[in-house]
Amino acid sequence: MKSPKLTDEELLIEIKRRLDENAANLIEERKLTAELNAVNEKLIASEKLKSNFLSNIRNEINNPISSVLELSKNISEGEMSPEMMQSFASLIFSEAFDLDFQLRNIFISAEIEAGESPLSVISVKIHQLLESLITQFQKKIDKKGVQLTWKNTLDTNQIIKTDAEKLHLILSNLLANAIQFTAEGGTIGIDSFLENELLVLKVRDSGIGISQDQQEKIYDRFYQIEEGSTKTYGGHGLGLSISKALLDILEGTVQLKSELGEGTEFTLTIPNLDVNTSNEATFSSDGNDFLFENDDDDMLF
Amino acid sequence: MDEELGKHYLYPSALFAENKPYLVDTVLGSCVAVCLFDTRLKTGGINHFMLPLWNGNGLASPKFGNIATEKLIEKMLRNGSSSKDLIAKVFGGANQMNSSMDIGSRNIEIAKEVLQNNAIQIVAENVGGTIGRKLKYNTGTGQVMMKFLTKST
Repeated sequence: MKSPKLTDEELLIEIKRRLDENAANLIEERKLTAELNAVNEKLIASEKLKSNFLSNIRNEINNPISSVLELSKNISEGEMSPEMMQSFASLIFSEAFDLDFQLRNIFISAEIEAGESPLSVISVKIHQLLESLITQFQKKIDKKGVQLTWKNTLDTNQIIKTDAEKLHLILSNLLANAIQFTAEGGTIGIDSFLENELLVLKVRDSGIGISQDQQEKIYDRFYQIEEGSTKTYGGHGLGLSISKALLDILEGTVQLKSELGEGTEFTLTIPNLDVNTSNEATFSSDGNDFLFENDDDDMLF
Repeated sequence: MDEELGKHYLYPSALFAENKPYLVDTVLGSCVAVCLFDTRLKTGGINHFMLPLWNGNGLASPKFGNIATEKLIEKMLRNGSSSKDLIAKVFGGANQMNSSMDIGSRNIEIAKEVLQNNAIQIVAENVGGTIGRKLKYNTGTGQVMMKFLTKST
């Protein structure tokens, strides 16, 4: 290889050029390092949230399961009075109810994360849905010793086109939170009415409230106000983030009004969804295996 | 008619086969569900798998199509069915995201392959496309009600 002979002047210029190049590279590298550091910090934070979540979820699942195991073992082994048996059975039911609720949250959260939580819009009799929701939570409400009032101006036949399961889970989470964070003797209120053709639902409690600076974080996954609060109040920090994500899918909105110590009020609006039930798929069958149900777009196979 | 039917929500990667009639709900995106029905005993079973093939690593779980479909057939046979009475209906396998992996289509393929290897006839199917589906399978009659899910955006 032949290297060209350079004059001193040319050599200096070349050295300077290379130094500049190095300096530019250095700046670029620093910038990248800073970016990496920022990403790393985020990862560490989310890792911490996740491991908190795991230990919370272990309690949420372990506690009901060990209760159910213990109670059912007692029933199957011991001789006991019918009253005793009944109270055990009702305890088992309430533990299993909790477990089912938590598992639904976890599964749907995994579905949302995988982008596999499609809408299933049906005509929902909203009065009926609220009634059954309240009935389901009645035992919990009584046990906690709080008072629930439901103010409703909806017609009993009022129909909203939305995804019933998702709406039910959103409301279950809000109601469960309200019960959880309200002390004995407190009050919980549910309002349901129509406004500009939107369904409006309010869930209000006289509980511990949420301070201004916490309010923007409550929809983050796994977030709970103070890690320590878990010990007093339980929960896994998924409920609100799921509710928010589901609400987005339903094209609804949520507003929060709360102050520390002054209770909390969530206001939801749920629109009617126009679904386009598409005919995009192709059929291959011998012709008499499916037919269309005119009423509600179900296809029969 | 729903009164005497048990209800079951089938989660992804699970399978379900009981001798009593159930109404089984499940929601499919790129996942595939195979509904088997025994025309003699009037019993049914269904699976819901997410990925086509078990690669031999880790657990052979019913998350994978080949395992899930074999296991479903096995379970039906254990419940008293004989494979000549079984018919199948196949649903799902939408390609929802513009993914080059084409999971949906591969899920459908593997279901069909396993059914064919076991000489089980597919009497109905609604697969592919880009839209998710919701199924209600009556395991006592073999009827499947299907609905498309996503709204157009």
